[in-house]
Amino acid sequence: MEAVGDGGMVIGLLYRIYVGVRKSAGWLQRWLTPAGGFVLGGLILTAGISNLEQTTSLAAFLLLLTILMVARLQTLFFRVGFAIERHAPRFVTAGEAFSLRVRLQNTTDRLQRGLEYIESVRDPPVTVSEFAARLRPGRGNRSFRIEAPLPPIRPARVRPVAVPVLPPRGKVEVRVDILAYRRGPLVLTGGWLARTDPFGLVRALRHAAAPQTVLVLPRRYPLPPLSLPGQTQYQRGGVSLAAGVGESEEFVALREYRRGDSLRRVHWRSSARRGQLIVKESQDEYFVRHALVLDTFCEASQDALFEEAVAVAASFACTVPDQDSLLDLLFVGPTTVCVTSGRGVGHAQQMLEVLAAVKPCRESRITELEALVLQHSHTLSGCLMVLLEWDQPRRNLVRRLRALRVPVLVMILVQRGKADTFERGPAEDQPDQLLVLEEGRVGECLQRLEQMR
Amino acid sequence: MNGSPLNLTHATPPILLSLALWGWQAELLPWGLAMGAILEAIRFSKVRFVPRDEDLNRLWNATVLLFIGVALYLFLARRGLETVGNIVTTSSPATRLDEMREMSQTAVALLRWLPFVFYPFIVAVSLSRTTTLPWEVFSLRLRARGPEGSALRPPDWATGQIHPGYLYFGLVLFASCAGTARSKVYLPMLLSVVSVALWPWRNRRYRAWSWAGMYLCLLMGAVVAEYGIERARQTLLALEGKLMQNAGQGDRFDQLNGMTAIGAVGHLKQSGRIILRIHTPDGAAPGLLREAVFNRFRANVWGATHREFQTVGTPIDGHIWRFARAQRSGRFITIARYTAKGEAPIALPGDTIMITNLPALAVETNYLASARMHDAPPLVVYSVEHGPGGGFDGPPDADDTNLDSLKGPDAEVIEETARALGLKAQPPDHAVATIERYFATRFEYTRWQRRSATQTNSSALAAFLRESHAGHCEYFATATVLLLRAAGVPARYAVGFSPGELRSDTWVARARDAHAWCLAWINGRWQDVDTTPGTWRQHEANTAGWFEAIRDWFSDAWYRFALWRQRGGNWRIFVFAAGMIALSWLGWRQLRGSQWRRARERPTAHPSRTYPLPGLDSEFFAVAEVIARNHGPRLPNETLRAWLRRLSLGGAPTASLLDEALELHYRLRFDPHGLPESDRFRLRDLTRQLLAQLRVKPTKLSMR
Repeated sequence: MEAVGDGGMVIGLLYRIYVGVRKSAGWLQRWLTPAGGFVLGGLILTAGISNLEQTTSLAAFLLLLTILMVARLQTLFFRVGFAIERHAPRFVTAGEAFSLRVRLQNTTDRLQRGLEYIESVRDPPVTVSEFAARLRPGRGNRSFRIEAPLPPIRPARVRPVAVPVLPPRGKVEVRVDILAYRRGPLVLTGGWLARTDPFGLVRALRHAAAPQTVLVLPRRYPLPPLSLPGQTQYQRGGVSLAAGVGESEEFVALREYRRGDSLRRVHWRSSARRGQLIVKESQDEYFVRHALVLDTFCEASQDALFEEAVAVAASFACTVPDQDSLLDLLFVGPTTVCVTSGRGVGHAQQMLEVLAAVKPCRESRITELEALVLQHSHTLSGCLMVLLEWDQPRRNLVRRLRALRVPVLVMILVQRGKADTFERGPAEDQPDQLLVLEEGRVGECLQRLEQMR
Repeated sequence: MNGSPLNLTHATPPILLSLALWGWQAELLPWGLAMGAILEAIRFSKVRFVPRDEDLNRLWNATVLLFIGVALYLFLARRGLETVGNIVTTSSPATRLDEMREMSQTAVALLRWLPFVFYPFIVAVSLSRTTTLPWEVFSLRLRARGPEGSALRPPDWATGQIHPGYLYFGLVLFASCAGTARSKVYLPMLLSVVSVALWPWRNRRYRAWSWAGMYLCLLMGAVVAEYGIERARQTLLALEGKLMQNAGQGDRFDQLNGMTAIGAVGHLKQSGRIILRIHTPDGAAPGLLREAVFNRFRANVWGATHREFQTVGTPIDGHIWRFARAQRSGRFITIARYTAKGEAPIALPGDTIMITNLPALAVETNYLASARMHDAPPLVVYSVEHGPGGGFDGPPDADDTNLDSLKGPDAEVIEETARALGLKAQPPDHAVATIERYFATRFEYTRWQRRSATQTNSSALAAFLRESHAGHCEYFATATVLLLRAAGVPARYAVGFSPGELRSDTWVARARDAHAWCLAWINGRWQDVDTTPGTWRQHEANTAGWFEAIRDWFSDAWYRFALWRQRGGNWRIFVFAAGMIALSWLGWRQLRGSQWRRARERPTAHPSRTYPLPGLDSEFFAVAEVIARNHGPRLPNETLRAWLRRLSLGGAPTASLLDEALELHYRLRFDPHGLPESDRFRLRDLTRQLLAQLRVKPTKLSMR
């Protein structure tokens, strides 16, 4: 369990309760049909009326209880054997429903009808800090003003599907709809075959395991045609990475090893012959290379903004490499991370996979991010920065990049309704282009990139 | 589909049946049938509207406002404020439970009216094309959250939808529980209605007879259970009653058993709640007002051996209750107090002659001169005439000198003290004076009892007389009664109020002014003997908190309101009218769209909205307006061209003019390069011609 600071014991306890309630809710959703939920609701309501003198709530309560109990009794005698075979996509997008085909095989000699199939899924676990963020949203809520609530941690939704008649030892195929809200790995643990009682209130369930993982990628926004700033830059030693694109890497000559040369470029045979390190020299490479810097430093109250920032970064990660250029995704997580894609080096998919797993960083380690970006600055044609705040350390980073003549496009995420009051700061801190993205209207705001060309 | 139905958006619950059941239970059967019939008629009607999301939101807001209005009305009409006040301020668990039961009755009344409250909503939804509603309609929080970043709206099955028909159906059945009719067929009827509602949800794997078998089993069970349920209900009620009894009687005054705080350790807690408001003509202090008298002391509890209350008889002139045959003195005091469900003890001076203007149906007294009223309004204001010769206490009997009930340390300490004071040898008046002097010189008043005082191997009374020499009025009164009895003087224990606070021209008796004293039979009449040191009043006054002034303000406001209501102010109509006006106004704003929301949504510095849209000044709009007036309006989402084509306006010359004008209008509106000046003139010219033709003859034209 993660450390949660002050009041950790209370939060830990609440977290356990939350996990318990969430599990129970999932179980109830599986166990009860909507009609059963309705009857259960009535049961709770009638139990809530304590006035026995003036109401007949006791009669209604006992009746509903009996109906549910009889329905439950009927589900005790459900015997079915089955196996599942699933065709699921490798990648899906958060917030967008996807379908998978499941082939169900009846392993018994009995014909089965009137069954339902419910896919069993396991979300990425809710961490204590994520939960605590919803209890103590941080700086934003220290005043008496009511801040916009953080989006709830919603579990993946699975749509129960009716199974056609399942012949003895036969197979049928069903299409299951799933909607995952959280990015990261979504484990499909197996499936439940369900049969409701005659009243259609309670489901009898039998489980079959078939573990498989689907990666939920961050959601993405459509971007307008982009014309990113900057010109081609000399890429030292060519791109061992960009073998087949542009002015391809071509052997020119051999020379003595100089400090800083990559060991990969050592020509071992010549080195052995000469008794000193000899390296291969290749033709110089000039091409466009952009950095996509993702700001991960945020308080718990900014988690919603962070998700938007990841979505924006993912949108660029999908779009920019198509433009015959390289894109370096830079951010600071537990360690500093740099992922490159484009020009046959890597695929946007890899970058999305990395973004699917990125977590917010609660300590502000902006200096590490600055070092990482400046380390790459000499190869960069331009820099795209997705920031969560516009404070002095971030402005300093932009100023340094500009001093190095790297064109910078800064996109800043602001909370809902705060775009109009956004402080741009003094002129010397201004990047070449600054785009304010308001939470809830990010897609619309991104369309302004077209006007900024 | 062979399996159980998973998509039942078109299923309709049997609302007519549920409303009939509710109407039958609530004794509103014609209403229930009529409401159900209207909803069923709507199902078969083809008239449907297409509401926008905002319309549904506003409709729900208006319904919630209506619900709040009804709840507020019921709350006020059933003295909810007073009930809540009592729940918060009372120190008696019994009173609190009683008041909570009162609140529960208000909730039941509200429950009974729920089908009426939500009826407009369900009618409106039935008239719409909507079958299910998203959660956002019902939750302000979800609405405030707004759309999330994703451009794609999640599918309905993932977000969850509510079927308003089933919601209303459940609500009506729930409301039917609030009915008072206890019929043996209620349960089978409820089961039948629920079963009909569940029919579309049944698992089609089973044949109908299987379903019917389950229904019949439940039905038989329901019939059998009906008997058991009544018994279970009675058991639960008995249990509740027992709990109430065990919770103690507290400040619901019991005139037969006077539980004292003798022996309790820690602070004596009394609230500052105003119990009595007393007006005396000359502004003089009203003195001691007794509510109950006891004559038997056992284990720190005072009780009455004469438990029977007898009615005073029929009031003279309908409002005068005479207690004593003494000459009228002309000295009056007027007392106002609240009753609990029409019952209350009557606080009276010891020399009461008669009560006037007491609007109770019955007044009872007992041998010990405790008086109480029945069937009185919530607030009573009565006048008491008192003076020499007044009082209706029974003469002393053997119980008034009896010390046999005293056991162990109590008996020893009384005997010991009486001996030490030499009381037995003194005449009654001297004995009283001796005891008064004894307590005045050697004892002090305290609201605090140390634990050590009761941990000695003696009783609380013994500790008071031997060790601590400090206590509150119950100690002094009890000790005085017992010492006087030891001296052979008949004595009784009286409890009531000793008002000592004058606010403007009214004396008030707060809960902390509750007092105990002794009645001694001296010179052939009962006399009040109060041996509690006079500092007790100051001690009690010191406990007043800073919030007492606020509470007094509310208490006075409520008292004035209750007085006005009692004197015939038609407050219900007033509250109802005010509520209806407020609700109507809010409802109108909800239905028409609220100004403040519109103002808040108005963009302030949004650059993309500051530019006027081109072509809004097109003259063609005038033509469209005339056509709409003559041939019917354009549908939402219908383009101008599609509209004109649908109308098939006939007449070749006009149609060609329309065609050309529409082309120019479109260019003016949507061509990024705009419309050249010459074409704009042409559009104006065409418009003029078209208007002339259309206004003269609203004929059918045709678009090419």
